[in-house]
Amino acid sequence: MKALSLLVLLFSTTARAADVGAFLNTYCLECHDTEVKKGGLDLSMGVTEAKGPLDRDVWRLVFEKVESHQMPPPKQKDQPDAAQRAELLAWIMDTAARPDPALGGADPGQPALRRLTRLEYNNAIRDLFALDVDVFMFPERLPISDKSYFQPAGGNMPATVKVPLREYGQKYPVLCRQLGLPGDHRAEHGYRNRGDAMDFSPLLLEKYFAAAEEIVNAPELVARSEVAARLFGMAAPPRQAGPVPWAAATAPAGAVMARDAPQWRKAEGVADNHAQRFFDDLREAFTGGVGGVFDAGDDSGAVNKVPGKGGVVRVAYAGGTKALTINPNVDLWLAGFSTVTPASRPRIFTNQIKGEKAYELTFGIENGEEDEGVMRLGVFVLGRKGQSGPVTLTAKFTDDTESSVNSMIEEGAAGTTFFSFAAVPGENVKSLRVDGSQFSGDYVVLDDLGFITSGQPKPVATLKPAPAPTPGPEVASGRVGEPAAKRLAAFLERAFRRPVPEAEAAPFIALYEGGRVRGKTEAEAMKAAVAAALAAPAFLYVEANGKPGGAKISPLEDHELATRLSSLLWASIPDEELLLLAKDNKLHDHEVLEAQVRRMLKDPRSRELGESFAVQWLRLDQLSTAKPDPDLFKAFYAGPQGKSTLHGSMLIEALLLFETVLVEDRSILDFIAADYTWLNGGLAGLYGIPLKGEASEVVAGVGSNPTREVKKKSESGLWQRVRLTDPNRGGFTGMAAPMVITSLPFRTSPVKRGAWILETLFNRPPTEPKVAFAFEDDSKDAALGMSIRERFEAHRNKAACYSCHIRLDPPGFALERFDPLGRWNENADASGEWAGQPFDGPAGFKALLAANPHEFTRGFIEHLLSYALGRELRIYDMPVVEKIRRAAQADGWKFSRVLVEIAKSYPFTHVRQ
Amino acid sequence: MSVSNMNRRHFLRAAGVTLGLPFFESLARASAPPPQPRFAFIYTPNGYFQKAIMPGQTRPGFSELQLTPTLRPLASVKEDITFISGLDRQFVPGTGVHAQAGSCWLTSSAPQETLDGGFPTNTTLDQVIARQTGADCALPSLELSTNDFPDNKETRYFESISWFGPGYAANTEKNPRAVFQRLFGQGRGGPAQSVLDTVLASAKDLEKRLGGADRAKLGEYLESVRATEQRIQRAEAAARRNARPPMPEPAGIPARRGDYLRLMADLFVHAFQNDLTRVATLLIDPERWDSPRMYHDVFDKPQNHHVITHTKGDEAKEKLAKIDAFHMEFYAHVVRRLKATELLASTTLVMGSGISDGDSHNYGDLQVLVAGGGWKRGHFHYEGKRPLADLWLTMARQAGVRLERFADSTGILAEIA
Repeated sequence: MKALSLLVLLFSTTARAADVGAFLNTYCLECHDTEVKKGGLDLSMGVTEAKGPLDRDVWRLVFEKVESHQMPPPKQKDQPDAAQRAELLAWIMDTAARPDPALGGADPGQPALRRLTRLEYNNAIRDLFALDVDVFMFPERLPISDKSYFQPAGGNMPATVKVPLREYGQKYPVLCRQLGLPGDHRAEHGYRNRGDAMDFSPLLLEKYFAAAEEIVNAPELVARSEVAARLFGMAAPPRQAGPVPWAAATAPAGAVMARDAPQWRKAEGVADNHAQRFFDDLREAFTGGVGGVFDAGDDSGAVNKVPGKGGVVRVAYAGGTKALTINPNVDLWLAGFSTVTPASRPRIFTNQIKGEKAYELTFGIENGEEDEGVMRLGVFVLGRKGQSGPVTLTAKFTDDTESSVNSMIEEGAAGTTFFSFAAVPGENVKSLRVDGSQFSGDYVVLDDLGFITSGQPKPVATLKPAPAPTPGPEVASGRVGEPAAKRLAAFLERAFRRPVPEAEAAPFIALYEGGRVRGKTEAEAMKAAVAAALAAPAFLYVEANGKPGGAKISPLEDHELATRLSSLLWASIPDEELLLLAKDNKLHDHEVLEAQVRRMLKDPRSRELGESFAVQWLRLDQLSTAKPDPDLFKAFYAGPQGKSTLHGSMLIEALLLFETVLVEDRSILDFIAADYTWLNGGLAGLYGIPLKGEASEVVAGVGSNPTREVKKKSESGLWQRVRLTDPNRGGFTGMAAPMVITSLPFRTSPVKRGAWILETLFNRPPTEPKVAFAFEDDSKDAALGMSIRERFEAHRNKAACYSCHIRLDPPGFALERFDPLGRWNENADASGEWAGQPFDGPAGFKALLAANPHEFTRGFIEHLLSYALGRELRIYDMPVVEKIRRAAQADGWKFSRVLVEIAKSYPFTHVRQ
Repeated sequence: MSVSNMNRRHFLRAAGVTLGLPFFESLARASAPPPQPRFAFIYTPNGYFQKAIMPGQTRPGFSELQLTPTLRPLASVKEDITFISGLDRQFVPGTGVHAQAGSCWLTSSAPQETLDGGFPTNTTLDQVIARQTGADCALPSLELSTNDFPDNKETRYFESISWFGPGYAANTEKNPRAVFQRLFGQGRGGPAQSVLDTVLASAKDLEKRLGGADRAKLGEYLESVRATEQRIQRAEAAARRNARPPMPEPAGIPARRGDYLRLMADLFVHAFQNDLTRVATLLIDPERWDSPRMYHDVFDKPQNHHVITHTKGDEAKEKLAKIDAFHMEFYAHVVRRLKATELLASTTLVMGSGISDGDSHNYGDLQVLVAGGGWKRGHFHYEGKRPLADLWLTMARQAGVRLERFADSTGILAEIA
């Protein structure tokens, strides 16, 4: 049998193949021949490039096992030398790169037809209608209530960022609060965007129908989306600033003040000339870049909701370089009221819920100087027709003192009353409490909030303005005035991401016209047609068919390429620019592709690469269900009943590293060996790494209460970029998140950690054990006095376990020095051997990885390519990965280079028919 | 006249059943048309702790049902229950050890037929029965799950016990409110026919551009449109029969585990009662889901079922038995509910797990509980190899499905049916 197969080898292939044949004969065929067929693998079919894809998969398996020294069995005495191994691997790689004889070219692969993931569905509809909020709530959306820190356009992450987290399960502003869709399942060792892991059933179809219905009929859709208003033939709504509005502070309007002066009263206890003095100072502060008035100057009558707790209004001042943040504790309206007589312009604040007349505004400064805060504050409470009563405003200062002013608000415009507060030097106004519970109206309305900060005045003209915070809405469909059918056809092209022939648009137009005939209004009929489009397969499925013509391999159509790009980088649909390039048939040009990737990375939508790809890649989505034992790991829990946990902080630390590499276009090697990380107070405490400014202030305690100071600095939403001195930290393997995900509630699990590293960093997941194994007496009590390490050694020495565990255990052991929370545990034995070299502890292991980054860079590129293609990688992708890897290496491993090369790669731009 | 036609059709189907199955004889003698047989399958993950569910020696054949520590919660419904033990399945190498336990529990694929990658998934028993009995129901089948962890960290092989075909899983509904709306809510009107026609036309356009494999995948969409069309027509008919929902609309997922499970069962019982569906599956939890969850009133802290199965020591075993008993108590509740609504005689209520001993992942020696349906009462134990598929074949035949073989079945279990 063996002789025969060798004969086949000799005659069918080159001399090099003969060497390969000899390798197989010496080291493999004893177990993997037709008779024994160990593990179901028969390698006696010979070495030939002329075989089909099936044989290629066998070679991929051989490649992986031989490369990782899992085969020949490590316990077998007779081993090939390094050169022999390399030769075999090179031959397999070479074979993989050759054209597939059945196709007449290299195989670009054929992903299974897939539908949009739940995240993509949300984003697609959000972008179709140019909405500034999510369409519905879904668990893949990370619980970050304000993502404005992520500004990729600038190419830099600031030294500190604010990442406020929502409590898990807390509601947040979306278009449809009640809407939900089922989640997607991940593919085995893969991502959720894989067609082969997705199903479509009547249940799901009905959910899509119901969702589309609810979306087009959402009361807020037209108010929030100009696109929808135009499409439905309704009056374009007033310009929207969104639920987290940006507004520029204005100079105090002197003229208005003068004109209105007789109309407003000062609150009791306020000196006669106090108001005028405040306004004079305010004017000066405005020109000096240390203050302004929040009035927004928007006469549109737009109504925006500012959600309680999570919601933030940003008032830009100092020429747009700094911002005052106003965070209410209840839902507020930013609105124009017809019954209000404004002090100046009609932009006012009020409680959104009728009768909720006691609320509090908390202030903050973004991008301010060290310790810059609100020093002085003035605001009007508006008098309203037929309403009167006492209103109390209480300012809370940073030294925890308070100052209250109570005033009787009389009926009508004459009741408008000015309140103002000033902090003692060195302190600031933290918050303003409004109590109108005795006021006869249902709403307490505030206007013209003026503020002066403790910053150093500088002429605003010298300051560089910040870039516009949010991109303007894109106009997706036709103009009002165009016939409805034309507007609908334009919408279909956008929704289906490609030219839509008339015949294909016809059923939708017929649906619209049918509705009109049956007496529906234009808007109703249009909504029905749009809803149908949003449940149609052309919207729900992502097409990648290539150019028609019957060739076995075909380049993708440009518009298909556009959707691949936008799915990869934005988890959404293409924007106008991409569609236009596709229409002109320019997108497939490599230069154009590269320019587009770079443009798209600068768009805030690229945050989805982190939220979707990175979260799945690193398995961060599993953090929320990790539950360290509350008795053993008290540090993980805080607050009443341990309600606050470190889950969120751990997730953000990992996300911020990914985003930093993305935004600053750094080397992907930072993922394994960054010399910095992001910490908030909670994680800094956990790791024992002091945050900047914290220690010195505690020691000095300059004139104030040091504990309060520390508490302020440790606020969980505030993140500092910290340079690391300890090489054990840095990179994902030095973070808490992976350690928590890979631990049992009461102890670490080297096997889970090893498997996490093999799967995540190297994309070489271990095969699942075929036999169940458990330690004797593996309980909480045992964990307390455990020696996991010794128990593992005994296990892996069993022959059946050895060939996997020799690879699985060392990375797991390396991380043993992190406890189940990711804290340092000096006593754990974390030594081992990797790629023939001894190491001790995480730093030692990381040094070995960094010295030979091949395994990690290949693993990362494979993960990203698989995500980009929506399919499992095969042997014919190996040369592609290698090409991308080399290009990235030549460009300093820059993240953008990896993405650009993926976008230009053969399997990304081609498809097997 | 359509009414008598329908009755005739029902009668014929029922008559076909009576040929092989004595249970239906009594019903056939009754003057009213026999009720349609109904089936509900409840899946619990990670096996049962063997020493508490079946301590000591069991002799083959019939014996009285012993209320072992795990089965004690069944005391009040002991007379309505058949406890079957010793049935076997075969694990197919090539996938994780847990992955086939749930996804292939009800499968009709023989172990050697791995039509879906390494998985022997195929049309599951509930779907085979649904095609037979559910054709004139608003919902041919109902697929429920009480796995409310939002992170979807495992593949569909863990989340679905109901499969339409090889590699084609049914989506499960986890939110009781959504189930209610689908059964009784306004949503049962569904999309208008004109909308369905529109998307169907659009799908046909798309189909023209697709290659063979993608066309098959799009077939799932086309099939879903047709099924929805039929469901709406039948739901409209059902709505004329049942003017008002039989229960208040649930607010969402109940906070307490027991309440959640009972609410989901209530929903399928109501669906049976109103003849909106005749087949339901309920996945209590997926296999190997390593996330601690609360079992209220059983433990005061969240427990990780899977990890406990692999934990040595008496404390873990005790916990395991408690979790099993918790699920038994739930099963007893459903039996009582069916009894109270006089559905038990026409319903076959099944509960089981795809493995027996969770620690060793034993796909053999399985335990299955069967209530209602006219099965012989007591404990029946099989020795040696007897495929679980024989039980499924027996049930399929009861439902009127003319099947010679189901997966690796060797024949029906005449001694207990």
